[in-house]
Amino acid sequence: MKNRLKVLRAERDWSQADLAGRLDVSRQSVNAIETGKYDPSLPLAFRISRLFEMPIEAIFQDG
Amino acid sequence: MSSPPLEHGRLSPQTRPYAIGYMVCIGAMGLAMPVVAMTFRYLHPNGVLAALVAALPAAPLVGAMAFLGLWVRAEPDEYQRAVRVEAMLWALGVVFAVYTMLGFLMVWGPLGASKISAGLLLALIFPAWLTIYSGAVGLVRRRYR
Repeated sequence: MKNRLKVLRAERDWSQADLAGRLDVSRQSVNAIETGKYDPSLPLAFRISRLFEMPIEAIFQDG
Repeated sequence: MSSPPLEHGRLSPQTRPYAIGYMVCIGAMGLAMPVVAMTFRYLHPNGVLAALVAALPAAPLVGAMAFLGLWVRAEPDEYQRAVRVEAMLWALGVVFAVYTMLGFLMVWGPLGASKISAGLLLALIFPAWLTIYSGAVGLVRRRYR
């Protein structure tokens, strides 16, 4: 699954560690999600969506 | 509100007690194994006593697996949880495959007359799984990088 996490994070000038701290996950989790190698669960996707104040489908794209 | 990010080398407060319990059990098993081996070698226990002595390393093994399960269940980071579970399955697969192969080789194959003891291999099955699991955690993490 593709996502815009890296772009959204960069727009806010957050490091992966900053984002990880805000989501209460490890920096490795953020990295794995950003590279598209790990798809987050629905609860984590909702947390990401709330943090960026955007709908899930605006952050994650199928395919 | 931001909290410090969880790092893979650092344990979250939720998992710390289980990780400590797991490590204590592994340590206890590491101590029990040579003690049991020496007891059988020099004291030759029989019957129920032999079973009790043999159970000495098995008890912390059960504890270690229980703590590992609780550790995974309490892990707040789903990615870390996925990595651990995936590594456990890889380790199980490797141990099953190697032991199946060795079993056939020892019963019907060229290792039948070898000095490798099937009993020794069985006694070392958990340390084998543990070693492969520990390595697999790193390899699975690398795959997700």
